[in-house]
Amino acid sequence: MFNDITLARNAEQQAGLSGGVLFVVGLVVGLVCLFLVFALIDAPVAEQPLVALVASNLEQSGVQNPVTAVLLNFRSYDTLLEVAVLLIVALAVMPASEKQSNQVFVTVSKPAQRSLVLEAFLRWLLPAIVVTSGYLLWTGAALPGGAFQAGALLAGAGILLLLAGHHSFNFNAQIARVLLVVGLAVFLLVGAAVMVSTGTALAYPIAWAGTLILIIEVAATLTIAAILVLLFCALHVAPQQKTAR
Amino acid sequence: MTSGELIIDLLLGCGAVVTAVLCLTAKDLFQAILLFISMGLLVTLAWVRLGAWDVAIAEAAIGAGLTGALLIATRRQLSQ
Repeated sequence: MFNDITLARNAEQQAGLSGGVLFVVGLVVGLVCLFLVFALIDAPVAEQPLVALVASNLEQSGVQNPVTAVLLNFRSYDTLLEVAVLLIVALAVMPASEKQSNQVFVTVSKPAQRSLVLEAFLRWLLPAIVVTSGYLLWTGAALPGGAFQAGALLAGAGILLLLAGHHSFNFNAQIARVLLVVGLAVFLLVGAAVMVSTGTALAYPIAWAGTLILIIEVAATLTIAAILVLLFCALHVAPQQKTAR
Repeated sequence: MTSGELIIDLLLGCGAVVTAVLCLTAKDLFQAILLFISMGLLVTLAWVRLGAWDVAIAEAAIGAGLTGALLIATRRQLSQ
């Protein structure tokens, strides 16, 4: 049943739509698309007050990259909620079991099938990915980059490590749980702590803004990487587990 | 805007739409996943052409890489 829902290509659903209906629907969609294209071409180029606004206030944000300034200073509330949404997703796919909670985070075992090429490649690639991720995080203050990109890269490293088959992650371990929540926790703590000096949540004092943003981004990077690897973990079936099923 | 740049931009824009249509109409699930990843890479290049480097990096890492890996893992779960 699940297959039918995901693929939606079984005979019954195919027969439900005749060629004429499909043609009419296609025609209507095409006409609407054409209308929208011409409307866009005819529309005058709108003024963009936001670009100038961000540029004029960039000195107050503590970073030189306008995107990072918007994401972590001017609209940091949105980013905070994004990290919270990611945490909710992580909780939804978390393999909950109490008996695993006091075991270690990373277990090393002999894989069923060794892929020598991947292993040899990873010895070179993993350090490079980790360094690149750190660079992306650091450079996010001035150039394109930041917590989400760095976290995604780190997660890629974790997924490659999983695919090599020597390591398996147990996300019920204490340290893993800390990793999953540290981004949101640090973000909330910093947001609450700056109320002491500025009186508003998430309004950083100008002198400290750069440092605080970096602290938040480091924590967020770890959390994003952990959550993305957890998503893959929840779906991935290692070869040695496959035979046991 | 020279004509060469315009050709590249048109190719990127049309290529992204064509790969998206092919991805949705592919009979084989694995083919559809690979087309989805290719579409992600084309969209990445489109973001680069638009000068949105932050979005391009995120799209390459998450949209093409991680989502592709998740989809392939899901397909393996389905075929069991």
